[in-house]
Amino acid sequence: MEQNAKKLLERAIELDPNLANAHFKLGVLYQSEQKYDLALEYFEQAVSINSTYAEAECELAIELTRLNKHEDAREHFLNALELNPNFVKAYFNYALMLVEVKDFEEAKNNFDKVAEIDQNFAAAYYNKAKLLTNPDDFEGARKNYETAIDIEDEYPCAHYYLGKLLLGGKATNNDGSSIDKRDWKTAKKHFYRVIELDPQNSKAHYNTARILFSEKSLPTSKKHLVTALELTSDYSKAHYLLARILEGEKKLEKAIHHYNESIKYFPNNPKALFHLGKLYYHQEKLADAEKNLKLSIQADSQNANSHFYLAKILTLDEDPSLAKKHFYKALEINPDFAEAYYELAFHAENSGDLNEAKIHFQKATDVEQNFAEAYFNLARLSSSPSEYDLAERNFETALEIKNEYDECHYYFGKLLAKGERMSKDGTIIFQPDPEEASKHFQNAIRINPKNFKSFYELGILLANQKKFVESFEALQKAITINPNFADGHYQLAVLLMNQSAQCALAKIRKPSAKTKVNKKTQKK
Amino acid sequence: MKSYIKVDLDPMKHLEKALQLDPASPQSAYLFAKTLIQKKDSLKAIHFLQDFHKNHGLSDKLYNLLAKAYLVEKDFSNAEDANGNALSKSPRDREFLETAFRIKEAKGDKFSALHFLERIIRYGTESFEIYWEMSNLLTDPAERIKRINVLEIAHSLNQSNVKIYKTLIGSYCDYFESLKYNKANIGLFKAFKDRIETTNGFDLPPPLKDRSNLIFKQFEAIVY
Repeated sequence: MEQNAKKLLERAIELDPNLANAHFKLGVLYQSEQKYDLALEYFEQAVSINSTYAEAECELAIELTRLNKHEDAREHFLNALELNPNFVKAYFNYALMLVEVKDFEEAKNNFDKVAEIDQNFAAAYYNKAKLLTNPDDFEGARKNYETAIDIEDEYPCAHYYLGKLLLGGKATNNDGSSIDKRDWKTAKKHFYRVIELDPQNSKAHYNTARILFSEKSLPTSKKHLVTALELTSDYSKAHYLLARILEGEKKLEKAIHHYNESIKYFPNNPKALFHLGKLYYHQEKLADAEKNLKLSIQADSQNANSHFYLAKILTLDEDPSLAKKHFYKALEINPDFAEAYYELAFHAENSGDLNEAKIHFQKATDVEQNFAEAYFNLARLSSSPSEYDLAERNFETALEIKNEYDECHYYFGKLLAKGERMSKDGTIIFQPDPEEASKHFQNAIRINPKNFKSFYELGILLANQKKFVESFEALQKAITINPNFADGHYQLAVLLMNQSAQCALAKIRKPSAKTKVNKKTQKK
Repeated sequence: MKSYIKVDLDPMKHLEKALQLDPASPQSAYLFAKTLIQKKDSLKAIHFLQDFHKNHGLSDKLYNLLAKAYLVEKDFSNAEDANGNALSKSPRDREFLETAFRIKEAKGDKFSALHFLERIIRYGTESFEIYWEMSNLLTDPAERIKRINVLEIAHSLNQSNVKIYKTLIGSYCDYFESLKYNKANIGLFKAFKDRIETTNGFDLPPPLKDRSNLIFKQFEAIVY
């Protein structure tokens, strides 16, 4: 049909070269065959023959735009619009050209014009929405995407970009302040619709997976990521997210593979580098971890977590300042990073700076008020008699937060058993509280029946209270749990050398002698 | 907890185990050596502490224990050296000063022995034993008054100790019997009388009672 039409039109032009309409129609046919050079020639002819031919002006402008001759194109679009002020196609394509030359404001005006003339022109709404990228225009963009979809539900691009808009959710209030308008539930629906309309859309698969990942629907998320990677194998973000899921599933080798793939297709990928570094850290492959964390910091120096993990690795270095530098950097980026304060405190303690360690444990508790371990360690380090009250308070707080904390009960018991504190006039006094101390040691044992140190301390406490049998049992338990506990053997020796203890223990030995006699009798 | 025994009850076995597990533990070493000395095996204690010294060094307490072991073996020279090392680390430690006193006493160096007891007293002590030991060194007739004063302190620190009380009364008697009775000693006599009257229920043995009565009569003749 088209070949016939072309032949007939060419024949018509042969007969009358000034037949503008024939030139135009022929141009349209060549355009549909993607023979744009020929199309351009015929449109030029049509316009030169008929200077009031709006459609030809418009098509000529479209072809000139294709050749990036934007100024010429603009002239012909304007000619077309002058000839026909309600020419929707001219407005729309002019607007698209303006987008190419980055004249977004003018483009928006022209898309508005299209919508004004033809309120069912979905592409105009969609394209305008794409231009509304400022957080101030969040609602405007949303409305335009929604209108495009209302007009044409089978519009995958509109669904996809609306999904992206709702995924980001960056918007502003009337007063100009930033607000979060993320709506991942709705976004997910739109991504699903894209997949329905275009199952080959790898980006829609990835973004759906991203939402499902956040919803902890990991198997479904994984399926979409696998599909996305089947469609686009060099999709760095998809490799990264799949690696995260695999890491969660403890499929560590596969996770490492996908992190590396993600980095391969996007070498400066700070997130993938960080997570790979972190994974190596947990696998105790510290050299690999250090390398990846350093690269992550190179790619994004503001990632507090990368600095934190790198600092943790550098704590093993002889020079304590290296780790400190990265702990401080992590805290500079994220001043509420309680775990960084906590680890920094341990680093300071291991470097012998107990005062600094206390300051950082304190900071960790300031930032995270339910950080039982930080309260406990702060109390543990507050060992001087002048800090008795502080230590007591912090042990109590730690146990209020986490009552089943055997180590805390053990150390608190030790503090109470010793009772060494400074009085108001500065003298050192000993006010042990053996009853309370004993309770804490018993709690520690209840929580962790293998806590031999608590048995040991309880044994000493009971010996001091002249409860020799109970003391013996506790010390016996301590060395039974840990036969290599030198202090336990020592304390047992001390107890067994005590004459009063010997008398008390003789009493509990008697029944066993009786038992032997009974056994003998039974044998007879 | 149920009462049953499943570990060895020999303390030395536990102590040896503790030392085996932590050979550098000063507290285990101290108890081990001390027990050997108590078991009259000072030579073994000396060898043990010498080995410990070679491998881990000795703390002041272990030096002092070594001095005690040498003292038992009557090796005064080494005892003095070891005690000197302990005192150089802790010059005011009462236990170390007491060991020094014991060494000097055993050597028969009364002057130095007294010197160490005086040092203990100077640094402050509420122990009647120190005053008692001091009184035992004050045997010269010229030191009778000092002996009475020292025993008075020992008695004030432990009023229920009969031995101290009797020795105190005996010392008063020794003193008064050695001098001519005159009014110059009336003050000391009153103290003696006061001490006799506040006996805490102790009965003096007849010889001491007779001697006291005689002294009373002599003084009453002067005073009344």
